Amino acid sequence: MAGPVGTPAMRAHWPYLQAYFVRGATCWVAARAVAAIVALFASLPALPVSTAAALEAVIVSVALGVVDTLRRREMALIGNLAIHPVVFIGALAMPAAVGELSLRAIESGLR
Amino acid sequence: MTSVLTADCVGKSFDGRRVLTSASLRAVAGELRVMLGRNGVGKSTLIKIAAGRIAPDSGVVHCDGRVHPRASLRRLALRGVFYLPDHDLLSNAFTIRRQLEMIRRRFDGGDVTAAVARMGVPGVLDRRPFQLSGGELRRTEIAAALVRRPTCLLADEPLRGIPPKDAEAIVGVLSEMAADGAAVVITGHEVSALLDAADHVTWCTSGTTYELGPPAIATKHEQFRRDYLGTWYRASGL
Repeated sequence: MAGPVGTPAMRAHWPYLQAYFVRGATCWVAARAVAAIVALFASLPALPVSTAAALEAVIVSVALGVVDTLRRREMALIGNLAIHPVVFIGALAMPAAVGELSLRAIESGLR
Repeated sequence: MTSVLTADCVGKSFDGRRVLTSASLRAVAGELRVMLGRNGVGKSTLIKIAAGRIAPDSGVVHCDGRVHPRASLRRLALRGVFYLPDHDLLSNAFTIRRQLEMIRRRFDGGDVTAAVARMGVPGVLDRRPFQLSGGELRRTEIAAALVRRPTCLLADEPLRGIPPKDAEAIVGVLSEMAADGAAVVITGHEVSALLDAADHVTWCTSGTTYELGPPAIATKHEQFRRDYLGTWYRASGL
């Protein structure tokens, strides 16, 4: 994935990156929502924003994304598209990382 | 005869059961090669190994003049290989248009609309794979290969579940791809359609492969006739 947004290389990768960004974002929202519900039942803070919680959320989001991709049997498509595993994992992790940073920023703003 | 991709002396076992002992697959530029064999002899396993989808216990994959000790579909795809599995090439999560566009944009491929029109499924673009019939889906998957414009196409049972008339059309498209210079290897049991179009026949049996040559010669191979073709060759008049 060489070059900034808008270069021919980036444009070539964008359609599948976009698809896996959306999947990563969906998994992150689902992971955070489930964690928040469980935390509410346990009388804990619903949206913890510590570094450990953020890391956990990113790891769980990526794991959910990988499981979803395996469940949908997309490995042949991913292989034929010559998607590097690092790029694939990165595309799933990016929305979770951005989401966690946003939560942190919102929490800091509210303080 | 330029060999684009070769899986050489491949051995593979599953749970202690030896499926392949020393089998080879060769994809040659400009040739449509057909691999025939009874169920369970390892045709799909061999084609998966050649495509880098599974690792062999022994043997090696050569592609584009280079040895790939740990061949992966990703690495081979970058060298122009396209693998059409017997099912599940396309994801139900995205529309056909989106997936074909992914392939086109990734590899500067052919026109998406023209490819589906050529395969006789022009109305599928905005649908998802689970909304298609088996035949429509198979033709759409061949359209994906057309969009990719590969130098080597490995297709596992591309005619499965396809009526004879549509099978002829698909084989015609695969023959055209070979005529345009691609190396095409396909498996299947649709003997009539496959032998009509094949440039070369490989017989997979007892864990190994035999290069039988052009169909006219292959169908004269006594053991191949007896163990695979059965009475079909008599009815076909070959």
